[in-house]
Amino acid sequence: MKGSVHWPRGTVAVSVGILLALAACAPKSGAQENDGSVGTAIGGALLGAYSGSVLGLIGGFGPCNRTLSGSACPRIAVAVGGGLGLASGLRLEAEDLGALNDRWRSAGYGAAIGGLVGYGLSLGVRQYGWRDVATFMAVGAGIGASPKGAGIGFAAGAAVGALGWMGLPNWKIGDAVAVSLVGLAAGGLAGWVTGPDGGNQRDAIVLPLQVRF
Amino acid sequence: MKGAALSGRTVLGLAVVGLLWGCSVSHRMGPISPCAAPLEDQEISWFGPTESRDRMANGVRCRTSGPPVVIESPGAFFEALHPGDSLAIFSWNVAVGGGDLLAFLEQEVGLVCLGSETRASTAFPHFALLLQEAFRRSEDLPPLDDPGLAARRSVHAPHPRGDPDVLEVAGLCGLATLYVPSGRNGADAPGERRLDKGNAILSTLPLSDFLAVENPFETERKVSVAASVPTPGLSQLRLVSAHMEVTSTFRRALLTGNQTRARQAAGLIEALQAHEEEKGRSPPTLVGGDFNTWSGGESALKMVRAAFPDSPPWDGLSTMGPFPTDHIFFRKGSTGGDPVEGPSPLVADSYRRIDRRYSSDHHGRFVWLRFGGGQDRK
Repeated sequence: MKGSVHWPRGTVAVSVGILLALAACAPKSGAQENDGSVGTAIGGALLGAYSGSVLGLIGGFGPCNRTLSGSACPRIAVAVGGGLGLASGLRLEAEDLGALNDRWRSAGYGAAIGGLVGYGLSLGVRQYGWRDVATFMAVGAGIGASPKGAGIGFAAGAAVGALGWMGLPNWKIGDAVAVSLVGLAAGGLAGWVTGPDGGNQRDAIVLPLQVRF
Repeated sequence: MKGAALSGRTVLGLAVVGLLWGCSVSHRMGPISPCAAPLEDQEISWFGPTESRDRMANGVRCRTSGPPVVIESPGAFFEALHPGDSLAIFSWNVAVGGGDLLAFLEQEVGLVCLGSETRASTAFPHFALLLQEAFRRSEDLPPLDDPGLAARRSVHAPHPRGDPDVLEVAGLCGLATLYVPSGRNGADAPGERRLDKGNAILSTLPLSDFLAVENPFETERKVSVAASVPTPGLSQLRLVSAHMEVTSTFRRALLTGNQTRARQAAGLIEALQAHEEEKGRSPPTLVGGDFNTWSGGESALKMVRAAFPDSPPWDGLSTMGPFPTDHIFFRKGSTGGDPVEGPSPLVADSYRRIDRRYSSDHHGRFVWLRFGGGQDRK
């Protein structure tokens, strides 16, 4: 429940934990480095799998909530996103360790911004407490690992969703939000699949976007 | 540093991937013990989620509210339904006193409430109201130890005739009543009577066969209610007033893959079916309620529509701001496992949104049921 006296301490603990973990995962490195190890390969695979899972889950929020399949649909979305992310993370580690390290760093930024967004929402949304702030951080990290694609995808999805909302009689705001999130997920996953070129963070503007649905 | 990096990645990755894979929309519904009995020993069948998480969360909130209220027979004189008569059904979320129920009854139904002197309106001689977020004032509610368990009290401008609670309106209009609170409404305030809130059914026809269904818990305890009314030919028509969650916590939304309302809709359908099996019959059933849906295509609506295949089509209209939250569904029922033959009593083209909101944040919904045989009467 919101208003629990434990939430500031809990949020601080979770926030610090996630940021420390991400900071530990982002060794300093330059572009086009290729001196990977088993550890960096595992790290790349995990980051890709995690980010892809989050993107799949968030992207599936709308479409899965239009089926009669219960939990099967979100699980499939997580599996597909996670699988794509895992393979892409491994490939990125092999091709450009520097780009992978940038993704770890932007995941950290995403977690921090997600935490801020979650904290802001927790002040106004009665249902939200410190666990939700932590969840926003976790989701922010997943989206932040592929910010360029996710941002472009979200913008495109939001545009399509808004057009549908204005133009189609049975489209409601929930449908517009759903399409925006599908765009975010598709763009974020495309950012992973296209590898160093499509997902290179060096010149990207980091736009961690948090939309609750 | 490398070791730290590896362990950080491993812990973070495995923990969160494992968490995501644990997505669950599970629920189990079954008979439950109510936390409060009705005041005059009328029997209400209770169904609800049986998983311990749901039971604990619902139980704590249940104990903050007062007992259900059952008034089986109308206090005013209303004629029984005859063949050829129609029954008007209104479903409306009254926003915890925000909605002016007396004005609604006067202007939409044509009923002037004069206690036992109340007479049926000529436009709607037979009607039932399926209400969500009705409230009751009572000095008998237990003190609230944890203010966090109280739903936020709605803030609204006072109505010209004061703010009668649902039981006062029912008494003033002489209507049969089922009111089941779901939880406390607002924290205790010095000098003010305590409030709870929940779903209600008000009717010009006598009510029987009472059922309360707790939703699988998300962030608030909500209880859908059902009661039966006598009808010509069909013997009994079951009416259900349902209310689902507007939003879960973000953590729950993530863990369930945004299946909050789908989980609750599945729970309601299961409970209604279990109650039918217990009673050994599947009566015609009308479900009206605030489903809190964001889209007309949501899983929850699809599930309820599949279980109630004789439902009127959605008109594409929103009922709460831009959200299509309020709906009515219908099923003809079955005898011996076979669907009831013959035309549906539901007049599909009568299904509509009520234009005025009467100070609620929701529009109401309306539909006619017409019962065959005899002359065509209202």
